[in-house]
Amino acid sequence: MNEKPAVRELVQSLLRRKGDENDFSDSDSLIASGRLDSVDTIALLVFLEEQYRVDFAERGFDVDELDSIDSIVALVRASQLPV
Amino acid sequence: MNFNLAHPVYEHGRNNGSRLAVSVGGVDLSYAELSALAQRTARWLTAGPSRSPGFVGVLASRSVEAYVGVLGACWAGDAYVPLNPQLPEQRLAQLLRIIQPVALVVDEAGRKALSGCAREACPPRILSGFHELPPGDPQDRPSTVDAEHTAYMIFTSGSTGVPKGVLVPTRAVCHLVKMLQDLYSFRPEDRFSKAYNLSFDGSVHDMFTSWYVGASLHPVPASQLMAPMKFIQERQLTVWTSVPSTAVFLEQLKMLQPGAFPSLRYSIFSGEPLPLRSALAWRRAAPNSEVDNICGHTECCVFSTLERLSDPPNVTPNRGLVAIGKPLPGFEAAVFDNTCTCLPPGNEGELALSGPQVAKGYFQDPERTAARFPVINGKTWYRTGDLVCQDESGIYHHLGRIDHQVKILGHRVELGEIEAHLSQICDSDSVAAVAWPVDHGSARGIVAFHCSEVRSPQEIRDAMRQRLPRYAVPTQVLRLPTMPLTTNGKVDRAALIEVLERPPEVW
Repeated sequence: MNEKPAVRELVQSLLRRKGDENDFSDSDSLIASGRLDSVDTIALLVFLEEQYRVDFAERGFDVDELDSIDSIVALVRASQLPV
Repeated sequence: MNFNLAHPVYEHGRNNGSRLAVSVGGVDLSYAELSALAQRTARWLTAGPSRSPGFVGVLASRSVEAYVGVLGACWAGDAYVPLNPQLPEQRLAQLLRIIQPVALVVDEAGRKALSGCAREACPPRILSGFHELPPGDPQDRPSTVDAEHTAYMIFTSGSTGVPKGVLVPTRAVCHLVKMLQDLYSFRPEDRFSKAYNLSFDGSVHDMFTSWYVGASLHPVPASQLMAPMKFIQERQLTVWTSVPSTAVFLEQLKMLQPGAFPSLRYSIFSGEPLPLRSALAWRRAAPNSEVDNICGHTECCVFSTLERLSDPPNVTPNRGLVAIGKPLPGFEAAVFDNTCTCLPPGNEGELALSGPQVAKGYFQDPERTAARFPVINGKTWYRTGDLVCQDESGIYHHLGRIDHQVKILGHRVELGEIEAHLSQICDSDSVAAVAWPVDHGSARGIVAFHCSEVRSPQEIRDAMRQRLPRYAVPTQVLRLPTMPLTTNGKVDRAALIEVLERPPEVW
């Protein structure tokens, strides 16, 4: 399953909502750079929980894990591996 | 009596030297090690021709350099000024020009922040690594300073676009620390969180309260600040202090599992209103902990009123917030009308505070100092700008602000400051900033409005990011054909909020 386009689309919509039309690469920092704020981060977490059943209440999270498209995709894939 | 804030660290270094003082970024420093580094930093600061005490900029965050820089400045008899390495270059340069520091202590992030115009505004002496320090001298003690000596200066948002430096004397910090110790009976085995950034005055409590009792300080890594559950558990923290937003976010995300934090003895929330719902969820997660809502102001040295979550809780009517409680020991509180006359209980008015924790005033700003720190019958008060009401049982309730100051994640932001920058960027007075959305008295973002035909929202946002701390940068920039005005010609903020509450397609 390829999660990247959906994650990218969500991040793009969060950025657009605040007037940030600048392009971003899959490895660009989104949260540590300040482009996404804590409210956006919540939206992102809720999306990942609903869409990919990532259980943040169970596993917690580190902002570094959500900081770029690449890291988000890696987190989604890791949390979907059979235990 | 020596009011030097480094003195307790020096004493613990001598008497309990092997005990853990701070654990940050994989480095554990004992009291002996922290004390020695502070002493050597002080020697570096005071090397050369003798000079009068000055400001030492600490451009560092969540690093050994940050805490050693703070203590070194104190030890030397200087005042420290925390500077956040995440500040944009222009803002940093502006602050450095105001402060005129005698020296800077920087960590790796701070070194990187010193580029372009910020570099040009730097003092010649910059400490960027402990290898530059002179050797220690076992005879060296923290310099003797008196009660009115400036311990630190912390900047807060200023409505004219220029930040205000709050000058806090050592007597205020010493009172804070001793008063808290009487109230909480902290122990040397306690393990304190440090969630606040150094440039936020909550960090003054984290550092100096824990070091006063000889306990350990555990700065939370930036990446774990939003969801610190694992950090609290792994470090077995016993004292947690943060902005209520931490509890609010975790509660919203259902991450506050009942019984998750058994090690906590005290959970202190300060910096913005505390929603009851989040406070109760935190108490379920930390069943062995008191949950305290503390209201504070940089101008009154960190903490001024306390409400301990009780059963049933004292709630501010219609706001769903934990009350702000009663003045902490040493404080006298009053509710002022706009002529600084005390109002009887039951009336709404401005919270005013007096006592040993009241700051000296604003740096190089006698006019604003006189306005905010009126002397009435020989007593100095600080007018907080908070709209409050005292109920029949003496409990204070926070009802909002009497001015246009908002809190974003606990950071004070004057909407006027944002508007001053917007106006310069757009070269127009038809600009406005509002806090939106507002949830339980806390702003979740700032929306900027303008009418400029020339500047795009993206350009405006980029320019704001160059000038303002990150939390103060508008989350949205919207263009309007004309600015709504009230009948007396002021920007109609209520109309702007109405625009935002409409469904998006109508904009």
